[in-house]
Amino acid sequence: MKTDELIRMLATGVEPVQQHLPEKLISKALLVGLAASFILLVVFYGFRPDLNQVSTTFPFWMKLGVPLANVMLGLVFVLALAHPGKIPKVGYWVLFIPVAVLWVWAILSWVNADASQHADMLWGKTWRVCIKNIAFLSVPTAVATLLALRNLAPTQPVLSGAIAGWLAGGVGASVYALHCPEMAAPFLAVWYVLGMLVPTAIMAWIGHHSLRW
Amino acid sequence: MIEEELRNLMLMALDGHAASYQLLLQQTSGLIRAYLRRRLVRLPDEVEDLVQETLLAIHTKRHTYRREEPFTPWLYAVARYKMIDCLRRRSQHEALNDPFDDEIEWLAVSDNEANDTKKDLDKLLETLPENQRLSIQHTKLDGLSVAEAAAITGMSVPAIKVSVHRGMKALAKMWKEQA
Repeated sequence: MKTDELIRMLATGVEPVQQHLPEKLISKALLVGLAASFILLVVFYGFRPDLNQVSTTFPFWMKLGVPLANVMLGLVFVLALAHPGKIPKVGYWVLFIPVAVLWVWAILSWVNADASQHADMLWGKTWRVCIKNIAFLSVPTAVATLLALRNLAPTQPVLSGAIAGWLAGGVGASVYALHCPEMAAPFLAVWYVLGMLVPTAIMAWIGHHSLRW
Repeated sequence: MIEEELRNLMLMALDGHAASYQLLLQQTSGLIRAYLRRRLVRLPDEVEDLVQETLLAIHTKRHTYRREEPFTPWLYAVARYKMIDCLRRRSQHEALNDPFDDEIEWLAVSDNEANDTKKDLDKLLETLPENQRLSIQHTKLDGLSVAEAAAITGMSVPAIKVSVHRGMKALAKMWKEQA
């Protein structure tokens, strides 16, 4: 087929296109992912019994807020990356701000604590399952955003996959915070961040293989 | 101003205006061809294949253009992505199959206008499932309306639209996967 024939074919009977379709697809993916991991939390882990008492404390809100900030920032970059030719208005370093805040808090509480408490602050009681559980709860959002991105046009498949994974990790970690009993900043700074990095790495790899168009 | 002209055509095209869309694709195909020719000097035979692949991508990804933004950055980002992806696939392919290609390349002079493609959309069309193939044939090649195509095939109007949409996506995918 000659190029002119192809052009005629593409133009013939062309359908109108919905406005803001990428925004709709991505936000739908996020809502579906969030709802699904919430259900997984209820089914497999349950809420921590003292949720009401801790819900007014600073560590609890950090635990919830840092991953949620990752979700918000990830959303901004994923949306930009899904549009060819769109350069994000702010640099990618912005993505590290929530984790940097968490680490500052962790270092401060580490140096202010008695050396005998250090082991507890770092390992807590649940470090063995933390990474696994956060990664597990991030699966629905990772799958949903991946499917949405496949319908869009990411020109940087690996980076798009990675940031979508970081966003999914943020959803997993913030939902898991409703179950997880740990409250020490160093614990969160290490295990929560590693937990969010697992989906990031896996999604970068998946992006390389399945986000090409 | 070319940007303004193309953007206006694109806005019309996104509202379903076929004549504007055809004009837009004609003009952009010239821009894309020039863009690719300048960059793929050593691969003149790839250019027209890649022009067509880029046009297919513009079509199937046109919802990722934001109406309030300039059009040409989007267009060139799509063309650039397609070029890089093609080079990436070629380098993988050559690493596996054709280590001598570089050395014999100086013999392979090519000076035709490169208007022929090695890949052929007509052949790909034949491999589509029948409902997609017929929907595309009637509405995109024979120029029938969706309602007429529905009457001929006995499919519903929404089914025709969905088949055309899926069929075009499948064509773009198969085109790319042909080595």
